[in-house]
Amino acid sequence: MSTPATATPVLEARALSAARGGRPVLHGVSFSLHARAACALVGPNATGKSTLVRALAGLLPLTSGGVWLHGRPLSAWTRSALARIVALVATDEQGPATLTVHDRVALGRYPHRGPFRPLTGEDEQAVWRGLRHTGIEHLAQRRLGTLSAGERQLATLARGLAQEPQILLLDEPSAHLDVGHQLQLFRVLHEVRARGVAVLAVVHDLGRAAAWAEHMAVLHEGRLVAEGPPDAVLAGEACSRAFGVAVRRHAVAGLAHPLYSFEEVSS
Amino acid sequence: MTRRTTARRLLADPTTGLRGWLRFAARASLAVATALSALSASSALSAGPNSSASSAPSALSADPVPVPKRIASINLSADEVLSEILPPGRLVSVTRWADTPGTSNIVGRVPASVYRFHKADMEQLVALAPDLVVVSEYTDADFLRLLERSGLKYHRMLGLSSLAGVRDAILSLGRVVGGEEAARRLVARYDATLQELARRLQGAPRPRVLYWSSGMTAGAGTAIGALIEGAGGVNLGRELGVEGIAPPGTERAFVADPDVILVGTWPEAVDSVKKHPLLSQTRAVRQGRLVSMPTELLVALSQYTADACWDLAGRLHPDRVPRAKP
Amino acid sequence: MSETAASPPRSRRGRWALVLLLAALPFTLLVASVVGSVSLSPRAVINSLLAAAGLPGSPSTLGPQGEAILWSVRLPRVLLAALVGGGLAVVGAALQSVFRNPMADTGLLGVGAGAALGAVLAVRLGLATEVFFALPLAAFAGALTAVAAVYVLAHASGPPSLHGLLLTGLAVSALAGAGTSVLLVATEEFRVKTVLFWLAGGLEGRSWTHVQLAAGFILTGTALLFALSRPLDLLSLGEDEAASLGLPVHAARMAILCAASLIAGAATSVAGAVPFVGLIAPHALRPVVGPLGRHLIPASFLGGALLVVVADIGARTLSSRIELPLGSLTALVGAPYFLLALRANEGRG
Repeated sequence: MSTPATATPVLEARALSAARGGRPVLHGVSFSLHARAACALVGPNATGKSTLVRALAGLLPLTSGGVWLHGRPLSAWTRSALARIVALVATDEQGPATLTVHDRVALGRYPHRGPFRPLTGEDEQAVWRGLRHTGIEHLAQRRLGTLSAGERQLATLARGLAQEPQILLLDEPSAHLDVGHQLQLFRVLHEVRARGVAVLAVVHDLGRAAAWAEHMAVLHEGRLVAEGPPDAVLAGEACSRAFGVAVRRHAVAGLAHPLYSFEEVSS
Repeated sequence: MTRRTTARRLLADPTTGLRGWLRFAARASLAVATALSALSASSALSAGPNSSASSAPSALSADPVPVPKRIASINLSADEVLSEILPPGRLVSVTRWADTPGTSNIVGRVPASVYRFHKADMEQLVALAPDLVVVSEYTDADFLRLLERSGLKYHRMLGLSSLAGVRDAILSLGRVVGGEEAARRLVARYDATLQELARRLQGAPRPRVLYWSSGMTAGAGTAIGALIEGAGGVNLGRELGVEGIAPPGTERAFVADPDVILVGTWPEAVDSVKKHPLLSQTRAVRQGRLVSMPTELLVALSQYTADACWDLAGRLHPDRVPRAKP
Repeated sequence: MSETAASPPRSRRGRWALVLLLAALPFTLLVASVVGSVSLSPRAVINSLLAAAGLPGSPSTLGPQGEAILWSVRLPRVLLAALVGGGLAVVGAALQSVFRNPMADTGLLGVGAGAALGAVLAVRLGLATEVFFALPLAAFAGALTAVAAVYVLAHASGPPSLHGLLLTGLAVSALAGAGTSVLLVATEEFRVKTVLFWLAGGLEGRSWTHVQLAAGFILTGTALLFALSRPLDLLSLGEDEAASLGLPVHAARMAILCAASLIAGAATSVAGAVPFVGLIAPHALRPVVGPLGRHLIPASFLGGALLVVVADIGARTLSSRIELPLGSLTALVGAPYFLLALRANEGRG
């Protein structure tokens, strides 16, 4: 774990403002992601978390500010170079129902191969690594249309891993997953970080976010209102105000992380 | 759930049960009855003051005892006949085709004061206040009923797909417009031409003629077929089993090996055969027996049909029939 | 376990399907050359073909009339049917990936109607007979215009939803159809018949010139789409994922739509409106060979070619007296298939 002050961020948003459908969504968000980070992006519904993630991935035009990758602005990066470093895994991906899981994951090698070069043995290995890490090797020849939403989600994650990125951005990766798969997901993210990948995940479950993340950022109405270690953030005013809940921390014997409980605040 | 309980449940259920169905049937019949009465009421109301009880279209109009003075023609065949048999002033309208060279045989013969119809404009027809409207075989029943409702009497020219039929149509048109004498004189010339033609063609070998237009030929029951036969030829379209104007298939046409291929004089007529991948290789084309006759004669359905027969016969049998009519 | 650019489909079923299609096409082409309103002997046809290719075989026994029929009319017609069918099927496959809907087809997106309008305009202005190449070019221009109109209109308020795209395509098709009707009313009668037969779809009277014109566009366009297989696959995953994987989404879409218009415009200009081919072939083959472009595009080409060659055989032989319009036959097969597929699609979604 490295503190913001001492290490250069790999991915940085500087005073970023963005709009979607004509409506301004993000206002002057400044945020940095460091190597090996485990950052959870949390916030109430429709505060711009998905927008921020997509802006960081370079998919959205910005109304002001910018995104810097390895110290260079995104505009200085070619599309494919960017794709080789940053992988985006979102929940609303829908591939054609007749596509096999293996082929779907193999599409993640596109940034490395381009439209014409054939896939090599290395590419195949990356694909199988992705399948193995997400635990869906047994589904490799199954078609997307025959899978459950959770399994499709894991296939998308496998695709992201097959990209072998340095930065992994996830938009609600645990959305369709059952508890077992959720735990597996966060374990995968741990392993991925061990290889030097920076992970930013939008997580809805505050408790799970706190258990996994080393860094938490709270987005409220398009603005970054709190940032820091999860314990500090959850204990803070800004978080309670953003969610409209009172947060209580419970240290439980035998558990590595404290548990959090939430109560509605009458306002 | 047992079958009995299922059945009972289905029957009793207000939406799917028997009661529900009865209710639906009652509502449905009420709706249908209302609709039917509305329909009959509206049709009774919309019936014009001049509609006759028997408004089924007929070949002849319902008893025009007084001779119609003002005749409106919206049919090129009638244009050609009426411009010949009517005294000036009584023909109040023709089609715009009457002025088109290549289609009309009476170009320049209709005074400018006569109205030209570009389409079957009911309002204009009513404004002209004709005593009789001459329509074609292909005018649809809706238009005819509209004519009746507007108080206009009409005459339909029928049976123009044979030489005898044209003759009879001219005579009946003459009767209806009070120009019997003129019609008889016209028909006399028509008969004379055809009889002279028949005399000259007696014993002549009959070439097999294929009419070709945009991939289609004229089969049995067509005026063009009658024209070919009247000009001393054999209509290949009829032999190929085609009825009306229809595509016989180029391969069949090619294998039938026509003696003559007949086209009109519209712009791509000759080229469409000469540049056709298969027809260009027929004996007819290679031996220069691709006959192009003036389109206005080819499509004539009036007294000019006799002239068309003569013209075509002159091309098919140049040794027996001079190009100029004596 | 390496995979080359043109590797066979993984499933055994898919591989067999491709082999079967590949074998069926030449056989069907041969049958189509033999069968027709005038029957030719199969052996004589084969001998004639071998003789033309300079290969040894007994001399042709077709006779001058048979030779003329085979070489001037049958062969170009049959090859054209294969080209048109293959091209339209490939366009269907590509559009189904780009618009992420297995029911997308050239007809829904205005390409057919635009091409028809362009062609009718050329006939109306008399350009078709005066200027060489005018008809296919006009149809191509019409197709491009229609696709561009659909794209621009659909993107008017941001990226379009699927419904928005389909409705826009419907509207543009309707507009083009209206324009076509207006032109027909103002066209001389002898040309109207030409146009009507062209609109009904058919290969009557097509020659080697048509084959040369169409082959260039269709084969080039198909090769282009095959080369764009991976971008097609990425687009079928969705715009965001494709962009995040480094695909220039708009450029890729434009390239694909351009190639698709090239093919559809050329096919429609030589054969008129032939509906449903682009829908049936890829839709039927996708479950068998998979949705990946590098498998589906060749399979669709073969499947579509077979479909139209067989439909053309029907057009020529079903009625002993007249020739049926090709478009009507594909519609007769396509419409029920479309309805069944739609029901299955709704059931799943």
